[in-house]
Amino acid sequence: MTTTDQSPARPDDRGQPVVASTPGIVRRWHSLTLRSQSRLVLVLVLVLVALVWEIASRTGLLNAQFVSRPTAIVASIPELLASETVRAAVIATVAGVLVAAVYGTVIGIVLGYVMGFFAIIRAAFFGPALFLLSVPKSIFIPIFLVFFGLNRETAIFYGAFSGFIYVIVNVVAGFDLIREQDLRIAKAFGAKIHHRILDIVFPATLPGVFAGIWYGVKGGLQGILIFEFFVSVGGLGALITQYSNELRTDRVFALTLGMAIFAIALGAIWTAIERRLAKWRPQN
Amino acid sequence: MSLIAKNLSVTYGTGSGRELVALDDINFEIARGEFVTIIGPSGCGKSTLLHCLGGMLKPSSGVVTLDEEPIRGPDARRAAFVFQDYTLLPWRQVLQNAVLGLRFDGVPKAKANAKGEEMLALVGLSDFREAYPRELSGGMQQRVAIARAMCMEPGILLMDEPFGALDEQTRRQLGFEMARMLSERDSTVVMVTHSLDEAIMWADRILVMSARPGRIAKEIRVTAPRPRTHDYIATEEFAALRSELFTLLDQDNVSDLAESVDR
Amino acid sequence: MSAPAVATQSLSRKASRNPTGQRPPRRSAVIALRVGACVLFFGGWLYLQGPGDMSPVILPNLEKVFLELGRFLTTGQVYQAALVTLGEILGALAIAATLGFAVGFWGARKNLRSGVLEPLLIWGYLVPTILFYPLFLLWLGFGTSSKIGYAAVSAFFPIAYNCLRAYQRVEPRYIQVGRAFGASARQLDWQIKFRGGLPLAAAGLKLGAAQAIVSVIVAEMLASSQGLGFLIQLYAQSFRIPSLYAIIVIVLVVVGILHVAVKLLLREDAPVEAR
Repeated sequence: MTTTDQSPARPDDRGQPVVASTPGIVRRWHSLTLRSQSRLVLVLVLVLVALVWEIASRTGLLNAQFVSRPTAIVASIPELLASETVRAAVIATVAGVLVAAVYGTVIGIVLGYVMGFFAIIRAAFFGPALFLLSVPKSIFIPIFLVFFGLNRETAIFYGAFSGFIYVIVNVVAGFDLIREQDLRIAKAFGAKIHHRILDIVFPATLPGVFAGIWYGVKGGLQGILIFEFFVSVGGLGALITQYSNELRTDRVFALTLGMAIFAIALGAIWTAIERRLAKWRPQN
Repeated sequence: MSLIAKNLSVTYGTGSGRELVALDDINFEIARGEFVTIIGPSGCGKSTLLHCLGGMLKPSSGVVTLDEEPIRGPDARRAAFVFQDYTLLPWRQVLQNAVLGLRFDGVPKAKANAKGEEMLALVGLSDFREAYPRELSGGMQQRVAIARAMCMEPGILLMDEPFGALDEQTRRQLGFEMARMLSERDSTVVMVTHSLDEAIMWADRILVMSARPGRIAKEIRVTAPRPRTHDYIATEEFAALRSELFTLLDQDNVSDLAESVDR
Repeated sequence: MSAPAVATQSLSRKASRNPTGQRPPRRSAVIALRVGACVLFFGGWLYLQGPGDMSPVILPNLEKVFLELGRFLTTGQVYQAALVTLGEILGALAIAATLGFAVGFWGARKNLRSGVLEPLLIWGYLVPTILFYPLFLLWLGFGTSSKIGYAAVSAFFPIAYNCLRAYQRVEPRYIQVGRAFGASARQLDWQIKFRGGLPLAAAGLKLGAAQAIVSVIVAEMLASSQGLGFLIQLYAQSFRIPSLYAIIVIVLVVVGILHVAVKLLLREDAPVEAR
């Protein structure tokens, strides 16, 4: 239903080609699925943006010092890769994110399950947790600093903190996915408490846990970057700030885009894993 | 062997201090191998009654006994349920759903699976043992739910509008198949339904309930031998029973039209 | 590819069901637990500053924090800062909402458009936007415009993505009814599609508003000379610890008020499922 509304009838439908000069391309375009068409256009759009960017920067339409240009960004990659400082900063940040994500998700999952299992704890503290979710976690950075000092461990603690609240909320949300009828079946067929937990609660809450872990990782990444921007404890944040102060815009772009791609890839991998593990779930 | 309900009553306290009598002094006896259907207007407590029989709900007073042993809680070995919404666990494959009760009961995997295979064959789903519920139609899912109950080799099978969520065609076909299978295995069955045809078609006996308070208004025996074929629908006996049931239920509905609440 | 389930902001607070088959908790018990937690918190604080002998550089005197709080509330400084922050939030949200709605509604009209837009918007969701804040500083300077620009971009993605989804899948039934009763293409657009997608679009706007609030305050903390975020940074830098704690409390209150306001403004008139 999708290809026909993009352009008029196919060439052979009415005997006369719509775009006379390129019937082959038109026909090939129509033979593609919407998915491939979208991907193709997406790539074209990205290439076009890069092209306009490059031209605008070269002709002086945009100040090259501030916006750099794609070729310069690509050219800066080898020197960045070769630099010991850059490598150390990337490793420090990525490792920090991973450790923070582990802390954040473990604490968050445990607290989330406690809240899910004990209705009274949920009733008392889920509201405050939702509120904490909505406030900018960054306002607590100074408190982390006075408690734990100006060092990378503090960045990790803060990263874990900025992720764990998302984990809790998502795990608790997972409990709302438990279906009443599944519990009834468990009761009717004599499930003991451990059956109920292992066969009903865990599988049903798994999607919530999975979403929670993702948010734990993302919160950790965001938190550690903010921390590194806020105070100088090294890492990528400090490096990006430094390059930006030196007007090395090409390097700033290379690092931020690289990190962005890393985050997107992480998200895509996570979605794929989740989909594989939850193939029992109804599509959509 | 028989199931006996004696002086069964269920009352719910509503928030405002009033009491809602869902079931009032229900008495009956079901013999081994008997197929009993329960029919009644919406809100008459027929599902409540079934839940009491299976120990899912504790009656306010009275007692249910199976082979002289009172039923105190759910025990699928004694009384196994088939619910209307066929509720299979979506993360378990068909066979794993069928053996659910056995596994809960601690039956070793291999033994449980063998039993599960046997019952899946009985309901005609052997080829789907590794499918997930979402891949099955409603009718097929309900077959799995029936197999799950049959795996327990229960003393009695309790079916709560088992075909209510299915379309007419599937409902009739599945109904015939399952009724035949249960008859051939000499299973004892209590089935709640709101379909007149279903109530008559497979029953040895029909319990007609009235609403508010839920009482057994009448017992009707269906004498034609089971399992019955489609031809039975065309008989005069069927027509007479159908019109009798229709009149009974109609009266009930009229007297309770004012406050018909959900079942 | 799809984004991992969006964090649920609209969760019910009620523990409606629970797998252990407990009764719904009693209100008095809930209140007791909350009071207990507060007592533990403040009691712990008082213990640490007294017998626990914790340095006031880390944990300030509780009384001093309250004094600072009182001073903040009676002088103009904080109100001025809050006004600046609020202005930036509103500016960012206005830009993000306009662009987000436009992109979402435009994109949803053709399958190819949404096929191209969807991954782009999801990428925006996946990437921690803070990465790009240094660039905004570079382009828009130290003042308010970099905050507005950065927060607008952060808020744009949830709004646009949810709008796109909202208008991609307007209940076909509604459209059928519209067609059956002779709605023109324009009427179909505005009276049926636009209206039908509104609940989900509003949910997106709510997420966007939350994002704008968070982003503006972070941006102010990182580089600025005014606003609530700036005050946090200022007191942290100058080690005025009681003031720091007091201003954090104030930011919490302000954010709480903003969220209540958003909730009231975007409450759904009809109980329509948002997802």
